[in-house]
Amino acid sequence: MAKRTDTQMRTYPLPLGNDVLYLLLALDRGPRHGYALLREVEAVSGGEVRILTGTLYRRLRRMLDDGLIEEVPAPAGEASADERRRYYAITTFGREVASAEVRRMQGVVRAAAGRLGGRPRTA
Amino acid sequence: MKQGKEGNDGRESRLLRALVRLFPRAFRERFGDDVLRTLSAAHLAASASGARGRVAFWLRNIPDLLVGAVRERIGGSGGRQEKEAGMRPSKTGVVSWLDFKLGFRMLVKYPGLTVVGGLAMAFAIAVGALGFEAIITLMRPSLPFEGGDRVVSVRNWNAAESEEAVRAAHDFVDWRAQLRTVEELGAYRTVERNLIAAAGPSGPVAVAEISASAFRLTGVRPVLGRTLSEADERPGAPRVLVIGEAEWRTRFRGDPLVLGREVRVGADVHTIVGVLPEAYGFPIAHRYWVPLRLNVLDYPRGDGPAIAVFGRLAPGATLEEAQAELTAWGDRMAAAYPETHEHLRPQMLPYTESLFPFRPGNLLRAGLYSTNLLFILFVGVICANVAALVYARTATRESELVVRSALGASRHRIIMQLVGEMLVLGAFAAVVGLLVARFVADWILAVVDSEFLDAIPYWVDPGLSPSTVLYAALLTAFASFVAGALPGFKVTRASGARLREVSAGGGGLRFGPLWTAAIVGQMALSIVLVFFTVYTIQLTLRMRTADMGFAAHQYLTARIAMDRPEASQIAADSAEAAFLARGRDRYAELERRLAAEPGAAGVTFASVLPGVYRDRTRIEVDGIELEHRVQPATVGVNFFETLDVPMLAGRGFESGDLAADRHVAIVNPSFVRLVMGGRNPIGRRVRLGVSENASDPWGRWHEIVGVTSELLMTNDPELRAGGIYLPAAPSPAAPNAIVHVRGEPAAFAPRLREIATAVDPALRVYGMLAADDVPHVEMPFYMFWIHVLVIGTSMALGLSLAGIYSVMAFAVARRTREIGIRLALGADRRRLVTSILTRPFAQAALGVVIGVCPLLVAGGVASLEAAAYVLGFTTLMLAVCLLACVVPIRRALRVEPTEALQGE
Repeated sequence: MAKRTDTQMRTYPLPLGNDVLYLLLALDRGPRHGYALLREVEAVSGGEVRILTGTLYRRLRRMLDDGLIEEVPAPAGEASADERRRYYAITTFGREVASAEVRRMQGVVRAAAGRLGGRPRTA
Repeated sequence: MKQGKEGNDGRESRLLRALVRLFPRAFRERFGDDVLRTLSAAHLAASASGARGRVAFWLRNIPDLLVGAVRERIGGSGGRQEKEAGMRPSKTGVVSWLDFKLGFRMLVKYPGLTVVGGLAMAFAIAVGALGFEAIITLMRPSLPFEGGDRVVSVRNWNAAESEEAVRAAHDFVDWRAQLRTVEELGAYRTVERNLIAAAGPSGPVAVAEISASAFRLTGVRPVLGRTLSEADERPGAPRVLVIGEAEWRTRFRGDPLVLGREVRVGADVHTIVGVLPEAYGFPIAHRYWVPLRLNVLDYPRGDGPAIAVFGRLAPGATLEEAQAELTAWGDRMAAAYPETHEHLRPQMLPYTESLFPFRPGNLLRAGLYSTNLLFILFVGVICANVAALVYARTATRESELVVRSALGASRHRIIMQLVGEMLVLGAFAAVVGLLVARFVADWILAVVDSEFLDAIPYWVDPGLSPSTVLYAALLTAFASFVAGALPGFKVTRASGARLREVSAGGGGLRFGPLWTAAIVGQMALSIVLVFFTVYTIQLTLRMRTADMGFAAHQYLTARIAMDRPEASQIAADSAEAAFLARGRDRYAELERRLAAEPGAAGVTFASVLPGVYRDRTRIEVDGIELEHRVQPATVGVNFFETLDVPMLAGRGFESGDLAADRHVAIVNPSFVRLVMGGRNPIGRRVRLGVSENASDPWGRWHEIVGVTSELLMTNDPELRAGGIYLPAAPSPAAPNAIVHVRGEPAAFAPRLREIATAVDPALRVYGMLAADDVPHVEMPFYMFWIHVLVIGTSMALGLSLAGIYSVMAFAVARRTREIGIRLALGADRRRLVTSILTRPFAQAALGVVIGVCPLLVAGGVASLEAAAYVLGFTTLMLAVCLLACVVPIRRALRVEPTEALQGE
């Protein structure tokens, strides 16, 4: 289950929570501050997933502690925004964990494709 | 309008900040501002879609923030994954497994604290659990059968007299016919009757005369035979009796052919028709049931026997509806029969509440429930003591704590470790406490049951209820928190700032004045407790070895009662006179037959037996009322002869003294000394009580004709009071028979019962005892108190001694460095030691003085032995103080002056 990377030899338990995966996917498009992340998750999931602020920061705390994301200075293009805002970016490790999770899910999808919907069950 | 919106925004942002503050500090320091910014942005976006958007924002975010804050506080959501990832456990956790493990090790390492603290906590939890159990037993009792909570009691309350109007026979018939909200209405009364069986022991028993509906109401299934039916209640129906299983097994030896056997209940022969299960005791704690035959035509309205009425709420009816229907009935009755019903307020109560002598209002309930606060306070006080011990121990490890906090252990961690340790201790204490509570609950029930025979309702379950166990668990959590967090907070306060101050010799920790005061107060309390314990034990010992003043071991005593026929209230006076007249005749006959027995050397009667506690009453001598209260007794004219007690002066009673115009009295030597001041009492006239009523025999003037030698009057031989005896013929007013037996008194007991029953089945014989056992009847009750006192006192003693020891040891240890420096500067050792000891001893002495003061005021130390005990205890406490100081003082005196100075 756990993903092992060649460089860091770190492991991370899968599956990821829904929130965590979407947050990683949202950050894959570039660093975001908290509120932008909320909007981005909503956009990435097509409105399916809506994270609330309290939950967001608890997830962020854990992801920071686990090294999936890191805090970065405000990107140059966003100078007009509030300077005190904190920006978060995905780490290499985070990207690897997300990819591993997506691969795992693809495996699940492949396994399911032939079973539930694909062809009628016959004896 | 705009202002209103701004005000709204201000309130809402305050609410947001308040919600964010619920998160743990570490979390807030890291993310707090950012969370607020994001929330504000989200709030702004939501507000754009109007009021509905704002409401939706709050409805979604408030629960999210609350749940998030709680989860963050109890260890964060990622605990599982962190563990699996082999990462550090969350810093924000409450009490971790590690804390428990460390706590357990500390408990093993400091066994003294573990034993004293654990016992104290167990004691506190046991007391709390018992108190709670008592409260819920009183307040939420439930009858142990289906629909038991719908059983009600119906009664008339006399608002003018503030008492229950129990003569409710007519109203009972009305209620049964008219009330629609209550079904299976029935009534009962309890009577004491002799049960006389052809084989097996006979004697007085409590019998319930009860309506047949009771058995349908409770749904009881007989073990044998049947219950009572309505047909049994008709006049002229055969007299039948239903008995309890326990009685069947003991009195009738489990005879399978018990049904159909004939036994005499009082004057009438009854046939046993059923046996009911052992666990059954409706209406209260009954073992015998006969039909209630109530012919209301015998009595006018508002008269008749005293009965209690019960029933079950009809399906769908509530207590309030039933009360409303009953109130309407009461109003109609008050209008129709103002002379009997004007002041009557009929009441519908849950059945178990009807046993209260008054209606348990909300105030009483609140009062009873709030006694819980007392128990919580008690637990708090005990645990504050344990906290002091933990604090003193922790303080000796102060350097370690400071180093740990310097290495990054948060204050939170250190506190939680102490709480974890106390939780481990508390868990053990709770188990012990609950076992003790269970044991004591049984014990109390047993004592109460023996003191007040069959007084405990059958639905009272001796075990502890699940809610009590839960309550004890909560108490334990509270106790552990107090005992762990309190010293934790104190010890970690500003521990970083102390980093520099601390060296081997001592530190900045100190016991506050509050804890010093607590120790002093506790010493005072233990002195008072020790005194009362010693006093009670002495009293009990005196009672055991009391000299009765006559050859008591040769005498058998018994209380004789006579069945009182049911009388109408109107004819009460004449009925009472007839009852007494018949009583005098029957008692005289009993005395004559007993005196004729070959096994009896003599027989006499008395209103009170020697060695039984009795009230004291006022006395006037020759028209002057005296301060001194005396103990009166009416006795048979042959009383002193039968007891073989010599007259010291004057004469004894003669049969002529019973004549209506003769009023004479005999007094004892204590009377001569205490009332007469040693003067000759013969010929003086005395009057008892303050009653001016001429028909009251004690209120008349009596001439003292003799002085008898001293007989034990009360159960406490130390309690000397003047005794005065008036002559009386045997009657229900002087119901105690004293038989001088040839041989063993106990062997004569069955014969006494036989003779009494033969004279009249209505004569009931109670409490047959050898006269020298009479003062010991209340012994179990005293023994119970002695146990309670001894346990309570030992707890208080143990805690305060441990407290004194730890505080003293701690205080001296703190001054090690100072002592070293003073020695280095050339201080005199003896003076140094004296100066160290002054403060602890002053505190101990203060405690002793405070404790002894109330005893002196109450005149309690009058007993020399008790004073000696208090003195001994004081010495013990001072010795403990000294012991507590010796080790640290020796250590301090050995500190090398150079070392001490280096610390500076």
